[in-house]
Amino acid sequence: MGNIKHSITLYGFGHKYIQGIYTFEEVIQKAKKMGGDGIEIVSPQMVHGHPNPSDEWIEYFKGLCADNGLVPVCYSVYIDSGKHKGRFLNETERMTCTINEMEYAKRMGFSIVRSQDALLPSTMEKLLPYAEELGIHLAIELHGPWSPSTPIFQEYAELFERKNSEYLGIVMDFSAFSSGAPATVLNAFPDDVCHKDILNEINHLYATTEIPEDELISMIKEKGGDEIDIMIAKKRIFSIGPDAKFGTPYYRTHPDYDGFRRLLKWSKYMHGKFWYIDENLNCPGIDYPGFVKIMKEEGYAGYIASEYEGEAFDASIDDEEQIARHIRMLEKLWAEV
Amino acid sequence: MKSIEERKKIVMPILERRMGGFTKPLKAGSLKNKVFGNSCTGYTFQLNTLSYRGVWVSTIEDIELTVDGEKVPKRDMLFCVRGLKIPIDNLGGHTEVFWGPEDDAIINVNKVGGLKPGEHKVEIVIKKRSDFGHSYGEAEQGYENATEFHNPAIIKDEAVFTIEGEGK
Repeated sequence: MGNIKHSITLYGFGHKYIQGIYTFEEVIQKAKKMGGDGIEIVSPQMVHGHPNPSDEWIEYFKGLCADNGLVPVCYSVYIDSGKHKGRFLNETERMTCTINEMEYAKRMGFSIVRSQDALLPSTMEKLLPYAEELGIHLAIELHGPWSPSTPIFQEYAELFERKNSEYLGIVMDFSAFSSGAPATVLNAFPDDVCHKDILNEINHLYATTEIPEDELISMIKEKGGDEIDIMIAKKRIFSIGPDAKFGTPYYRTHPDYDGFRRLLKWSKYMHGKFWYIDENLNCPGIDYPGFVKIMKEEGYAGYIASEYEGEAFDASIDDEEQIARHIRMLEKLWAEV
Repeated sequence: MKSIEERKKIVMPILERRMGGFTKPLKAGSLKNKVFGNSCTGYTFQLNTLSYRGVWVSTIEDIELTVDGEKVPKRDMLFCVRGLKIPIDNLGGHTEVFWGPEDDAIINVNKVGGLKPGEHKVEIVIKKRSDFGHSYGEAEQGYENATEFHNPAIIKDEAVFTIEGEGK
């Protein structure tokens, strides 16, 4: 449909699937209903029998995709460094588990396998002959808190340059390019425990200006806020440090647009991460207009997945409506920018 | 608006809340005696998945179980998944066994006579490493900095189950 190829990541339904609220069949049907051209599956989450699904399950999966007119696009896998106490995986383990996943991805009809940075560039290079043989694009996910300038992603970029192969690449997640907290960041707090009007204004200023944090704190006080508001601002609105291992740094007005543009050349799939889109199809906190403009300028022809993670901020919001809005927003921006 | 102190009491737990965790491993209504004809050799119950994406059983570092206030000896417990029945202390060695979200995971406790019909309080403490993290390296190289794997998460739950079946 439309101007850009949309993928629905089934992961977005993962929470309800795991609780038994949706069956796998319902998850696939919802992905179709949302307007997806293709789908992404998180293998250990929904592939029955992972990492060795049965022939029967593979046939069942292919039948469901065919019946619903969905293209299997991205098969997402991990480098599970926690398997052995006291050490990371070794290269043999990283190689063999990834080849195994690529084989299943191929059998199930996927064209892209998304792994994680812990695969390591030297191992990825050794996997290239398998990717070529299988016709699978093997990609590493770039997710916050990392950014294109993180040393290991510079190493990956160097590998992509050197090999110049359509079978190696990157899946950029917009969590690595966000400007500020989502509009729903305060929803978890009851209205009478903080000054939400003041904090909403501070949230907007944080994402759209470079006013230093200490000046924003002074503004909270001047506007009649108090220590509770300052505590919430520090923990929920201001960014985590760029060196933190988990969580999302907010880059304010300077997400790495150049890094995004540079890596786009090696990208066939991206994670359109988002936490909230309002009724006017704005997504405060992530500069989608700026990034869609770059995608258009560079002639991006791959998929973008609609990856909703807003339930962490407000579980009462309708996730299906959010995904549908994300698709409409991307179509609108692609036509306008 | 309420006093600063009152509001702090409401705000702090929200700020400290663990996001996206699955913290209720005891599966409601799953406690049963193991009855074979007129014999009963213990009881079983099921665990809910511990992660949004399934777990490798080797990441489970320990399971402590207390039933009706009494600690269950580890030698009497088996962790059962995908047709395997694994002693708790051996889970770490089963590095290629995956417990998917769709798989039933059962704790099997050996105890002659099982549990008496009626209510039983079950408390569980599971210590579990992350399946994956954002640190990386080749085998031991740099593992000392991989703090996300050093300290397992402590997942606690307790529930009152009712035994409907026969016990001795």
